[in-house]
Amino acid sequence: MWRRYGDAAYALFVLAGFVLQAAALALLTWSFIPAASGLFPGATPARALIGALLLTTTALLGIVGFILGYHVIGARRQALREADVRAWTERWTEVVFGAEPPPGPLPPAALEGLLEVRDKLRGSRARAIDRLFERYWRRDVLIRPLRSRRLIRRLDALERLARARLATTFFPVLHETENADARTRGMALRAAARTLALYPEGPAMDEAQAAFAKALKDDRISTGVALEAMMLLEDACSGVAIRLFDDPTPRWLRWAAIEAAGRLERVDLSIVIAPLVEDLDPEIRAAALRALHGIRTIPDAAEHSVRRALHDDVDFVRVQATRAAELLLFGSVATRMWEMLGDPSWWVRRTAAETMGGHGVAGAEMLGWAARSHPDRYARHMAIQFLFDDHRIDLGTAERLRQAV
Amino acid sequence: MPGVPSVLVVEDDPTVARLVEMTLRFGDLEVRAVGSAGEARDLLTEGWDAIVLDINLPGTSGLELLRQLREDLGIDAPVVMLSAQRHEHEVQRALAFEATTYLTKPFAPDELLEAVRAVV
Repeated sequence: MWRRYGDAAYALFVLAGFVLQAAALALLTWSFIPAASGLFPGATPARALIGALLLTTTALLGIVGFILGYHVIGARRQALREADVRAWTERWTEVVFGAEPPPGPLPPAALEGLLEVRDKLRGSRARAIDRLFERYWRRDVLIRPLRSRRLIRRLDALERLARARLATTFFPVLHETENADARTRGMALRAAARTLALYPEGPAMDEAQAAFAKALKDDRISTGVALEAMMLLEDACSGVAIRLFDDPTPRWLRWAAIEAAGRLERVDLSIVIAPLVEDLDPEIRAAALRALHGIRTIPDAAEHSVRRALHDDVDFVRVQATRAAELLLFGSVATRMWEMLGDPSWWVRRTAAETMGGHGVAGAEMLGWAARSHPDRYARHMAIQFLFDDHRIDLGTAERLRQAV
Repeated sequence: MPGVPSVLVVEDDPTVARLVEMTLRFGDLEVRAVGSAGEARDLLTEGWDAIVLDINLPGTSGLELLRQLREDLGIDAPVVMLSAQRHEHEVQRALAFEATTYLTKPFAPDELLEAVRAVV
């Protein structure tokens, strides 16, 4: 709330305060210059000091009064506005379930209330809400603020459109991903992603996904923003991500697409991600392995690649491969897991212990054996530490094993 | 009302709670909505034909409440889980505690009503 719309007034008050302070200090300084004191016969240092104090007090009271007044008035206005929006939200909820729609034109709180309801629904009732938007507000009422020169108005408009998720606003919103301002670009990408997540199925969806994928390829969009936007796509992620796995796509964007597919557990993308386990770029290899682990699926044709990744030169790739090995038959990776308990990287050793621990009785037995008799000291310690951390042995047993080895 | 199936809704978002309540009332079900696991615990033993339970509740999570319902209180009423995201590990945990169905938000009222009517 604070400073959202009070920038100009606050700036003026602070400027006035500083001007008063400067005037007070100037007067005070002037009063102490003997040659100048004759210009203002009544301006003795004592009087100038008192005057300076009065001006300072006035300035401070003015600024503090403005801040307190802004909060009090702002809080009251906010509370009234929220009550208004809640009332409209309740009214629209009833309309969604058959009540008569209100006559137009409607106040801004009505739009906020409808957005609040729209944000929570999908399916036929959500489409009914889309028709309400079209009935009461011309599309350009929602779109026009996107062209505002004021950043806050553009961002507010994008937030509204993100909640409205109207398919008809998708392309105008997507256009704002080319805006010169980075904050607008990021917000537009998020709004477009939320809209695309509930886009109607059909040929138009294909076109929208292609356009979104193209917008993501803008170098000015950071990896974090791209990943966040792809996560917001939800079920529509697959249609966009699949357009980003090919070579012309920048490396950072391919990484974001793989990462999003893994976090969203897109099983339908496991076949496309699997070959990336052998990509030349270690970040891509690691991301692909992490995604397959997240999706909980390693296609049969990729099992050999995952086992090969257990021998990767790069430690963070080995970590992800070890984690993904949880999804392979233990017998096919047991020997390598045993070796990886003695890996130079602590993270690989730890992940190997965790993977063995996740492989049921066979894995647990091997861990117990490793704790007692692995030829590598660090491997023995890691096995003991994991068994203790996982509450499979008590502290006394762990200490005895450590001393024995 | 006697003979009318009753459903307990546990959802902290007031708009979602109201929409769920309206959806179920529209389907001729009796509904009581509460906003937290604490409030729900006081009502759990009243005998519900179904429970609609949000996963992300303030304080005690929906999954923990489901566990308490099944393991501590021995209540076997059908439970429809609602979640903002579909994470496989959450789904598996919910199913392990015998949740009947798992729906994601934003939700389709028709789908929710069908899921609840199928179990009452």
